[in-house]
Amino acid sequence: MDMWLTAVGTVFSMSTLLLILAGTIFGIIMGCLPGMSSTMAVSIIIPFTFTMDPATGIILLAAIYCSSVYGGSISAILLNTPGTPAGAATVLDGYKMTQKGESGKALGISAIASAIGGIISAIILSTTAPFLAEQALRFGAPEYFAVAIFGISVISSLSGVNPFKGLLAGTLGILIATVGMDPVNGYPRFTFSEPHLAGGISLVPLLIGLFSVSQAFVLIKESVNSKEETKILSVSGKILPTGKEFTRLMPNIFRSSIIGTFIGIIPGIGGDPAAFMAYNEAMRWSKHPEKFGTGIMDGIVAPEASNNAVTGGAMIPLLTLGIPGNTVTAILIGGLLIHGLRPGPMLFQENGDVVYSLFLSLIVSNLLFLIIGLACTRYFTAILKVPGIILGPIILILSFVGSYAIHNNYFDIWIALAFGLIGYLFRLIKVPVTPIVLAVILGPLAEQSFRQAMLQSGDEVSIFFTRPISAVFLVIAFITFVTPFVRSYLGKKKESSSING
Amino acid sequence: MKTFKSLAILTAAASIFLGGCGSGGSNGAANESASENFPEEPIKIIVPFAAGGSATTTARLLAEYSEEPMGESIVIENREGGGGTIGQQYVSTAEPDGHTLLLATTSIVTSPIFNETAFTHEDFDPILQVVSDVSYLYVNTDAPYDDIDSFIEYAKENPGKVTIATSGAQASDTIAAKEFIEAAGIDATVIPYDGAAPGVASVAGGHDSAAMSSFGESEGQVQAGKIKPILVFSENKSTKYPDVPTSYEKGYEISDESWRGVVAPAGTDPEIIKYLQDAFKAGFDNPEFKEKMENQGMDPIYKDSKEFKQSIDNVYKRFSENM
Amino acid sequence: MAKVNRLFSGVMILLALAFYLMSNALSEDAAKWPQFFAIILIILSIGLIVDTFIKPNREQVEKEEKEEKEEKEEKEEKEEKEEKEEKEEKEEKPAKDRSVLYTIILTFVYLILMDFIGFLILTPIYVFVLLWVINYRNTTRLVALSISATIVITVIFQFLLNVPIPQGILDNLF
Repeated sequence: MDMWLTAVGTVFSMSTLLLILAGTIFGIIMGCLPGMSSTMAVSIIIPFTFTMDPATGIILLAAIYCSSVYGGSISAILLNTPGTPAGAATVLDGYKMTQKGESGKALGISAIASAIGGIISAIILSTTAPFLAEQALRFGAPEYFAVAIFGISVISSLSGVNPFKGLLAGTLGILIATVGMDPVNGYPRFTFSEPHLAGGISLVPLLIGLFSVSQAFVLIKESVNSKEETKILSVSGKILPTGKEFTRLMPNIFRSSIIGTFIGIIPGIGGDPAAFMAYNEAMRWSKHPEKFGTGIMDGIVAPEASNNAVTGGAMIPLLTLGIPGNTVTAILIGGLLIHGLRPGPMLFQENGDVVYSLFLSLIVSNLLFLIIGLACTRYFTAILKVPGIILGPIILILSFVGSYAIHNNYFDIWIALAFGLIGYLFRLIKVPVTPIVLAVILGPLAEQSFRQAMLQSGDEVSIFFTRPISAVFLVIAFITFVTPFVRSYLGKKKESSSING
Repeated sequence: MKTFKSLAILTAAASIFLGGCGSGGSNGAANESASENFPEEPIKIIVPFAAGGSATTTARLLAEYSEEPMGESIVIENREGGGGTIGQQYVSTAEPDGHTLLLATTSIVTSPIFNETAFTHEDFDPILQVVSDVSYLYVNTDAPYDDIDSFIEYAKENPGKVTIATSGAQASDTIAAKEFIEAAGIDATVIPYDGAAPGVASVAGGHDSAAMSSFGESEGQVQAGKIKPILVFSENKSTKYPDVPTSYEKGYEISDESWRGVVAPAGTDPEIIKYLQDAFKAGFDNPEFKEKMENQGMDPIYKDSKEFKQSIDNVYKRFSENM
Repeated sequence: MAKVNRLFSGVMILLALAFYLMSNALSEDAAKWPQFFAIILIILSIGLIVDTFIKPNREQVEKEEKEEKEEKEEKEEKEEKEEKEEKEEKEEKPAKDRSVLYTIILTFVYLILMDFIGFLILTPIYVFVLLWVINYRNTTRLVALSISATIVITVIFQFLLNVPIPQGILDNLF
């Protein structure tokens, strides 16, 4: 209790609150911009925290982390270009809502879901962290493989009308992800002796290409077509959902938050697939799974609640065991260490004030971006009034600058352009690109853990089925994979029988 | 003559340090060489990895405390890509005038071996080493073995069952693990992970029998009572865990460390190398630098350019023998 | 769509074969994973061809099915709209294809030159030419937009965020 009181004193001082506010605004902006991922946002600020006192520094970083994850949804909803990989799932229904003229509501519900997700995970973090960290350790290579396969199996739900095309895109993504160093032996594959490819094709430029660059091409194409009646997407006034809608969405938000926290806890999975998994579960439990992808609120709250819940979840192994679960927390660990704060059980005892300040600041930051997000929705949507002919070239330039900046690497601009062309072509021939992203994120994890498990078991495939956690996830993966097919088969059967009968 | 020269440069460096003035070089040090006016512009240290990682932190801290003795500002630039090869390639072809340097890790040796890069470790002139993290062998505290002898005994009783997690196929601890397996005469499998943390977590969860890791990457888990070190791969006793036996005590002549240092493009004037080495050494000797490095869980250990070259050549030798 | 699908499948099969054959040069355990998925890619591509053959209108059929579920009035409206849109698309196809093609060509040139000339000098020119090519002819706005966009991005990235942008010949300006 004393720790909480100290923490309240630390967080609710004017200077700290202002700092959290500044961090939150910075994070939202970074999240919106294509290429400026959460990792980037945190690494830009971390050198500045070296001179701050430990609690303030880590509070600032946490605020930036939370808000940048939320920020990614804004551009996903308004421009069809996710600002961060974690926002890729939000595009599915978010942009459809914008096209229907409901961008205000989409942004509002996204801010609310993100904040609730973040707060739920922060509460879980501050109450049961040590216990959950213990559970995270039960994940060995076979379990990682099973979770990765579960994540990949979601592709079948993202495939749209023609399942072959979605699955083709997903398989293509897995092959794209094999470019670069073999995850077990370290030798290069498919790199054509090009040093830039030795580390593989970077995710962020690929994402920028598939979504932002191709979207810019689409905008340019559309604006040239409808030159005379410059089509401006209308923005309806409503931002907040009605009480009834909110009550209906609540179970979805809650479930997605739990999924996000859980995925966040498992080190190495990262937050990006969590959004897709939550989207898939929302679909599974929905009474109208066929409406997903047409622009419904459920399709926004699931990924948003989930990807923000990852933030709290990822802190659990970080703080209790010193294991960073994703790239952002790997950087955060540096921010703790520089002040001599070594993550682990001793951290809670020796520097409890810092830990509890962090918990509290996570909640404050989530509330702050909720307020900012809701208050600024009108300003955000103003971007829709910019004609596509101008927006297109600007998105293009931002995409290239963002791709370059992420690694200070010229080659990445070409990656973005190449995938921009692929993304544009795929849109023309109606091949969904989201499966590619999911497969590129999870493919390497699946391969690495598969081969590690094979090494551990001496090439016994049974290792995946004799270990309970792994077996359960593989069964869920199988169910997830076949559900859309069964659903559409049953749907058709019903229809034909109702016609015949 | 040489000693005189270096003494003169040292004095020059010291006088700049004391005077705190910005223009270095022309303080009556030895003439005739290019080093006379060095440095003429800000020094750039390229870090070939992502910003925010521990390599970047090392470079930033070193730069922070070496700027004064250097007499010029020191800029850190992250050039990430290709698992470090992009930044390494950039420095290997940079002008060897001492203004573009590289933060070097073991990967300047391993990248050329694995990735057929255009450069090799011989395209760099070592300046100094600042970090050396010794590798330890960690095991789960609940495992049926609790020291190195019982571990080997267990491995012999269960051939093929023992797995050792390492921090990556291209990391030197993979080589050390293989050397250890061979020297101990056990039948065990090396499993490379993506960095030390996941391997350590795997041992903490009981999925692998042992893990190779450094103090900094594992201390959290040791404190949590999940894992403990049973062997240090070094000739000398560990200052962190004085009770843990060394590999040499146990009769295995295997030492393993992951080092970090600063290197220049090959062909840099030896005078300039010396100047840089002295300036960075002055920064290294700052107690605040050491303290901050230790906070990060890194062992600040200085080696001059000659000793550093030996470390580099040693890694090369071990890799080319084992791959 | 049927023709496009066959073409797409063909390209995917070629790509999969390329991955498969290149994997032969790798060690066995490094080759397994990509080869497995190369085979899957081929199977799926063949599946798509067969599927397109059996149900050439799959993607349209499903659309209609979906619409049937919706209210009838809405459906009629929508279909009309869609028909219109489709017609428009067909009519304006040549013009639109060229605008994107020009954008792509321009972007190629822009990116090739950027490494040498740098972001700051090249970007205003690129934006100006690009907008001109895609038929934006308000010259005052064009100039204002191309210059202001460059300055705003440079200020935000280079100065506020301290994130590098390609500088080209102005390498040591900042």
